[in-house]
Amino acid sequence: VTDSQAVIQAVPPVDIVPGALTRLGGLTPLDESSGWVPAGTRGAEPINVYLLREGQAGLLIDSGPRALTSLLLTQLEECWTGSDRNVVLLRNELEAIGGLGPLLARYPDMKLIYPGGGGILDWIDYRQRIGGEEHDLRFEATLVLGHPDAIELGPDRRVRYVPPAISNLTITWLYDETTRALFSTDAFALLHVPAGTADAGTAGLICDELPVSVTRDYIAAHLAERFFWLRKAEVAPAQQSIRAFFEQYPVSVLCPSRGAVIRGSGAVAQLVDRTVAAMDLIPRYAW
Amino acid sequence: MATSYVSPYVAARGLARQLSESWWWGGGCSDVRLWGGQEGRNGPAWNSGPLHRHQYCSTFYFVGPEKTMMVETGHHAHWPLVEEQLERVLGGRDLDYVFPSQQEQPHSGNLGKVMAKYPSCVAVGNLKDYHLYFPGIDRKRLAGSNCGDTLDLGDRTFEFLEPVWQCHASTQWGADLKERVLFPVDGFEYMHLADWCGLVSEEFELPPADVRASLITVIQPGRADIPMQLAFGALKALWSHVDPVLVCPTHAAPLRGNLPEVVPWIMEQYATAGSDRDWIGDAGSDWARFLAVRSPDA
Repeated sequence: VTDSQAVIQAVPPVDIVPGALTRLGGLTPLDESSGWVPAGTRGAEPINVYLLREGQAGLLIDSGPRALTSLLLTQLEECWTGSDRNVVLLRNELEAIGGLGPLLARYPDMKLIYPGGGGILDWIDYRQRIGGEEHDLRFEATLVLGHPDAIELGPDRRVRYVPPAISNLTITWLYDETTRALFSTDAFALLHVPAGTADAGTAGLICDELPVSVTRDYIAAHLAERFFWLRKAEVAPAQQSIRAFFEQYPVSVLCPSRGAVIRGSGAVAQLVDRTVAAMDLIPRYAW
Repeated sequence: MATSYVSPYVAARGLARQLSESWWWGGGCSDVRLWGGQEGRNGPAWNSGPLHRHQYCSTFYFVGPEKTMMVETGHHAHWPLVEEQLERVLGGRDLDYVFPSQQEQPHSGNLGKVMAKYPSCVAVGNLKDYHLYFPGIDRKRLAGSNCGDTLDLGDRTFEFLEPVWQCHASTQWGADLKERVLFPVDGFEYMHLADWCGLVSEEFELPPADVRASLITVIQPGRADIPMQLAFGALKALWSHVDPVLVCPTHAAPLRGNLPEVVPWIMEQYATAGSDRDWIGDAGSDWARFLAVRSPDA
């Protein structure tokens, strides 16, 4: 991996649930070239990849954008010791699949789990050098397709596929029954690290309390960018879908692909409530 | 470990081919039958249905007297095709601009390769976050544009347009007002039968409604909660602005020569997708009337 990683600042891995769930990734400055956020948003945005562990088994959730890859591989070298390695994709967009080619090349025994179509290996950087030789991952990677109910990380560790309550192009969300963590990819991805605190190590990566600055107006402005189509749509079905989801699944940790992790069932419930209420404040599209 | 693999990303017959004085159609296809599990993979066969369907990942090349431009970079599995097409169509000229219409792989996947092949090329469009996806590209070469902006191509301008339908927040549509070409990206998507591969809309017979339903998807998150009538109104306003004689969707055969027939054929299916699907009325007839008076030469 030779690409520059200058746009991603390194931060150490953070255990969200010690021994069971770790946050990997880095921080990227928010400026005028940042997507998915309201214009003028500044500070830094956590770019997240998650590692679930159970005994010798490990499950990496998405692989992050390409600019993260060098850092991600370094972090995995330091903290991933298990022998049963797996990576699952929740989306096939560039911010989820960017590191997949180098990752599969680094760990040739790793299984790629994908609940979508079999052409996914054509979507990644499938030509990789392994041991000094050119390889084509389309022929060599171990791909697990299909859509069973859950990924079994151990006899008592089920990570369930759950239909997204709101999505753009997401294929599935994941719900870890053991940690009650929800991996929501692009949903609930709106807590940034304020300007001036980005050099404070891991500060701001995990929020145990919802900041007072995350008001309904703040959330509405972010929803209008990330879920752009809500500006054109009737929002009641989306509100109903989110409420129904969180009534069905008890969530203690919200793990989005971007933005801070929200930890604690109280903080999660507060964010969900504010998100549903914020949908009524999203500015309508001027047809 | 798999012992064989057949890529769904196949060549489209006859591409690249010239569509108008300055615009060429390129890229490739994907074969829906190959989207599922294959030997060595434990997934189920994709339910591809009785039809042998393809879906384009198109690119479009502009070769003008002063400037050159590429609309869409194509899927990176198609790069060997796209690279050969670029060389052939440009005939030794440099590529001045590349416009990935949105961030998804079939639209932007070859951006890094295009920028490396043509070191003076500048990328245009909504390029937010591209520094995260293509960190090898010098950020000075990522020139963002907003909807409503124009790009000077010498003898004409290219206009970046607000999309009517979009599957990504970064989507921009585009148009060449001189040759009256509209690029609606994921809009107007319809799969084609394998026999139609490489043909534009006037070169095959439109299938009946029951087949049409299995070819057309409105690529738009939340589509069932969005009133299609309002989208149609926005499209008519845009249509009046561009007055297209050539429509170049990324995932469908270009519409040329029979717009008054093929556009109503598509829109009738779109009308079944929105929140107003039960009362929107006969969208096909409405579009036929609109186009009959607007586009006698289309």
